Amino acid sequence: MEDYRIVDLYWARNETAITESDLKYGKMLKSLSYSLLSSREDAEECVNDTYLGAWNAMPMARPEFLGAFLSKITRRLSIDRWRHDHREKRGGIAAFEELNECIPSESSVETEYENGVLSQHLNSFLASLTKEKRIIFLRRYYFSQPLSLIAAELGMSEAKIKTVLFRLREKLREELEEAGLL
Amino acid sequence: MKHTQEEKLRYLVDELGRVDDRFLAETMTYRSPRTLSWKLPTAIAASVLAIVVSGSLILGSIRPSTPDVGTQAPNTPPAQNVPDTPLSPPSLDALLAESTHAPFGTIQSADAVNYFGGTYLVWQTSDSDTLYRSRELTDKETKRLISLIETGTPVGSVSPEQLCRVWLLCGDGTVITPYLPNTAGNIGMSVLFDYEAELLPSGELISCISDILNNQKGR
Repeated sequence: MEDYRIVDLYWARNETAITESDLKYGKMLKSLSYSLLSSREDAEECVNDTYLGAWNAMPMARPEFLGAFLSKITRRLSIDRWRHDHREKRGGIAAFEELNECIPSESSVETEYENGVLSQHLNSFLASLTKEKRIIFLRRYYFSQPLSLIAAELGMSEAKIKTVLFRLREKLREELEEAGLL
Repeated sequence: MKHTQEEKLRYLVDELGRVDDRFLAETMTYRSPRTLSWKLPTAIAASVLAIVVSGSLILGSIRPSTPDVGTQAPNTPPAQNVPDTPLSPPSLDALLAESTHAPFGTIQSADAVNYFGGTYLVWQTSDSDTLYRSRELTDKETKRLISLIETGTPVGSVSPEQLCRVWLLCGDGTVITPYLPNTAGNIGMSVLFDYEAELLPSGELISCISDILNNQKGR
C-alpha cells in the first residue's frame, strides 16, 4: 500500500494503519532497532512503541515518506533505551563509536547545543555526496548496519566500505571543524 | 559550557536522527546495480527479447484460412475480410530494450543526470549500467504521458521481472515512472530511484512512448 494511503488510515483513526505499516516497514524497523539493542524482544517492544508514537503523532503530522518518519521514531526509542540500559557502563554502539573520529579534537566550542543546528550541516554534507556514498554513510550511522551487510547489499567488499566510511568521517570532521559546531 | 567528548558524540548521534526524510527514503529503497536480482545475463535477456518480438511477429502473420465449419453451409466460399487476430502490443520492456540505438544519447552515470534540463525519458536495461535518454518532450507529450500512467493495470502481489527500468524526468527535479501510480510517495527528487513495478503500462501509454522514441523532431 502506498505511503499516502497508510497515512490516510492514520488520519482516519483506522487501526488498519498499524497493520499496513507493519506489513510494509516492520522488518526494516525491527532490523534498525535490533542493530542498536541486540535483543529481539527489546526490538519488538520498540517497534510496537513506534506504531503507538506514529498513531499519536497523526493527525498533526502528515509525513511524505512514512518509512523515514517511522524509522526516526524507532531510532529515537531504541537509542534512548540503549542509553538507559547502559548508563552505568562504558563503551557504546560500534557504529557510533566510529563517529568519535568526526569530532574535532581541538574544539573548544562552548555554546549550548541546539536541536536542529547540526542536522542542517549534516544534511548539506549528505547532499554533497554521491548517492552511493550517502547511502553507505546512512546505512552505517543512521541504520547502524554491520559492515558485512552493507558490503553484501551494495555488492562491494568490506574493505572498500571501510575505506569509504573512513574518508567520509574525515570529510565530515573537516566540515564540522570549519563550521565550529562541535 | 565546555562539552565532553561523550556529550559531543551524543549530540552528533542525536542530530543524525534529524536528517532529511528524502535521504532516508532513498537509502531504504536503493538497490545497487551490482546486486539487482532483476538483472539477467545478457544472453538470457537477448533470448527473452527475441522470443517476445518474434512471437508478436508470428501472431501477426497468422491469418485464419478455413471457414468456421459449424456455422457455414458446405461449399460456401471462405468469409471475406476476416479480421486479423489482434496483436498484443509489444511490452514497454521490449520497446525500450530495442531503443538503445536511439540517437538521443546516453548518460555516463547516474551522477551526470540533469534533473533540471527539460522533460525527458531515461531508461536502463538489466544487463548494463548505461543510461539511455530520449529527446526533450513537448508539454503536450508530457501531460499525455503523465495522464496515461493512471491507465496502467495493477500487477497484484507479485511484481513481474523487468528487463528495463524507465523514468520520466519532469524538468523540475521530480522523477516518476510509468510502473508506479503517480502519487506523492512515488515521486523521486533528483534521483533515479529503484522500484518494483505496481502497474503494467497500458497499450496506449506504450504507444505514446513509442511515438516519442520514433519521432525525432519533437519541439
